[in-house]
Amino acid sequence: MQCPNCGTVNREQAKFCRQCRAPLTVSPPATPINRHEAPTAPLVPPVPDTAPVAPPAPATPPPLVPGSKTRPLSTVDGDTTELPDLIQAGVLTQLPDGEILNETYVIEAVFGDVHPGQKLIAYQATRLHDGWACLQCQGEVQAGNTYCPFCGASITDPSTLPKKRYMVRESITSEPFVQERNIAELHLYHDGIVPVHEFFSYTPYGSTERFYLVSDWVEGPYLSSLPLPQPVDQVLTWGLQLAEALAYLHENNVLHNAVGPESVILTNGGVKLTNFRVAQRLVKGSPPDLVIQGQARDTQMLAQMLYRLLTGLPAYTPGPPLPQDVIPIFVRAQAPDPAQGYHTAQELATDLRRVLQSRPGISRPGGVWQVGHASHVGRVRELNEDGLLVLQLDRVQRSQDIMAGLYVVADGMGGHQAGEVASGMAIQVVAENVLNAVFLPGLRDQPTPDIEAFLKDICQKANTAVRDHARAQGTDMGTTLVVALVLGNTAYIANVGDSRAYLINTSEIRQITTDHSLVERLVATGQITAEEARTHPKRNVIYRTIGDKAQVEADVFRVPLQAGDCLLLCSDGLSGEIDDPTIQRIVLDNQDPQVACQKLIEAANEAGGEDNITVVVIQSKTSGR
Amino acid sequence: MLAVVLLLLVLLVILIVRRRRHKLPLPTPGHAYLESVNRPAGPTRCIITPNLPATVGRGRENRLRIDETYPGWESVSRKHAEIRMEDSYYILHDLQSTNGTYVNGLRSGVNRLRDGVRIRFGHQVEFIFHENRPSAGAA
Repeated sequence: MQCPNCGTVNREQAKFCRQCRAPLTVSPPATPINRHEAPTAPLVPPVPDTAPVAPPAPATPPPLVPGSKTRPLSTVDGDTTELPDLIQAGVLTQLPDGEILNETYVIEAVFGDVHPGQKLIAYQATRLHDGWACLQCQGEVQAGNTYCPFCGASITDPSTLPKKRYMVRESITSEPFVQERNIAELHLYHDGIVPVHEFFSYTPYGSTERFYLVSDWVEGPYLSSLPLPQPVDQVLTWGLQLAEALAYLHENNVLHNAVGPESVILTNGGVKLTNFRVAQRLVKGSPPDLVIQGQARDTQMLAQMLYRLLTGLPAYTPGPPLPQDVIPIFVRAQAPDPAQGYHTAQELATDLRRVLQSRPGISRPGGVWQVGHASHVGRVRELNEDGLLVLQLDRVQRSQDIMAGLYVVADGMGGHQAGEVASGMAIQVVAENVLNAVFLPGLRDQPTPDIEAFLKDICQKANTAVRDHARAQGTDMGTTLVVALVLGNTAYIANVGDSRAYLINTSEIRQITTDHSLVERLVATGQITAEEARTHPKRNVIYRTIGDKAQVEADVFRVPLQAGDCLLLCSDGLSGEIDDPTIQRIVLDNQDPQVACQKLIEAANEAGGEDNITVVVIQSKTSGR
Repeated sequence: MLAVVLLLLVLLVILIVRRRRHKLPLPTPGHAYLESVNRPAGPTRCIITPNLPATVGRGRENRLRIDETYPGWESVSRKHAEIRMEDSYYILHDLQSTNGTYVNGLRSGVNRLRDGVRIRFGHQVEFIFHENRPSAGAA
């Protein structure tokens, strides 16, 4: 059966293409009604691999297997496999859908060969009794779990979740799984690898024992099925993820030994290293040379693969058609003297990261956003009821979605034991929710919610928390709330009340938020001017706050950020005292945002300091670009 | 004369009984049945319920007894297979039969059955499994 997607010829019963995993059209009708031929009619013999997609991996010496207990199996390309074709010989026949293996796994579909020529049958399976998939991270959820053990998502009833899918590979000998079985015992878990779960033997019928290896079912094509060349930023990003995955394996005393496009699956969440067939678990006391050489070899194979993905060329040639900043990586990777090449995956990761960070068009990782913040009681009030929060995640490991920052300013109202409680509580609710729903999933490369709806939702949650508390205490309290959630180069601003968010750059100062205040309405309807608003007797009256009514509607804004932009959040103690051009001038005059904050507070105090003054300045440092 | 009438009556009764057998009602939700597909003497059905597993084989003790009316019955073992409900699914167990049990043409040991699958006992004796699953467990 030919795959409509990539043209690879698959076995007749296959439901998914063995090369690109595209679902194949409905399998042909099952057995004819009157079936007189021998019951063990062999399956349609596997067609030799005709996939033209990728040239064979650059020749790497077959990995050395420690000791002499095992012989080298096959390379990933399968050409040198020494296993007899058991499927064709009719010894290993495919099991039907619905077959229960070892009272644990149920076969859902046959997948076909994982790699052509491996003489294995691969099935898609689920666990019979447990094993559900977390909706957020696809991690394995067991009966009785109320939280996902991998991402912490809350789960009301695991049995309502979709079943987690596994890849179960079957062989007539345990030989293909010798190494993977060792790896399974380590229970490795990393974003960049496909986890290997367990190995077992089972006799489905008769007396022929079969051997099984279970790993995660991962959706997506192998890199070997992609057209060449691939975009530079894309390949470097994959390279970084894979170098980190390799470093993790090496840390855990595992050599992969077969890094190549046939061993990498491209998923929604990035690339994942799989195919541990010839991987090697190093035992304590392995010769240091073996370890060092093995790690260097893995790293070199990865660099070779990246080079091929970038250029389509099998091996390094002087003057490659690559951007200048990328070339040194491959020059070093190909260094004839091993002492000058990459020794560890970590070294390659460091170089890739450095190049990625300096490349245009990719959100630049940590350190480029600088934040200052300050809060002052002012010159009139006795109590500072304002609150602020700065929560910043600078992830230096992925080139995308690296920078995430949460900045909050809340101006509490209601007097002692009320205003500061309200602002603190609102900030706490926002921070907890953002951490759980955005930061943690972001760290795990998991999907985050629709941010705009999410921000509206957390403002409502903060409102409920403050209102419930106020009712319990019998006091009247409330707070304004302005939240800036910066993800990469986009800022999402949510606002309730009259605290403000500004976007400042050399050409303008723009108030992003709209005050929910009486005077703002009067200005908007043209009844007073902005200047009059500053001194209007009812300037403190706001019609929308956190903690006032049961329902609160937050305004949410989406602001793309560019190099040189500053975000400023403040309470009305600042914006009510000094005008916008002054704010802009102070922010731009001070390179250090912390100094800018202090100068702003000084300016507000000089102008009267009638209210608490709180300010957060987020400055992008992209000078030189 | 009387004998002839009696004989006719008996034949009529037999005919009605057979008709009845052919018009068995569909099993209620949670119930299932096996229906033979290649029996020259006409199809047969064997109802399976959670409390009433189906044992299949040549032996008299089986609920679904494969006798000489099924072509290829010789290749069926005395105690060949059993279908019983486990955790809300009907599971087919091959009872170490000599010639095997097949699901959709592939030899099987223990199989979670789905509506419409073909089950073959030995070389030739084939049934279709029908199940009226409560919607909750569909899929």
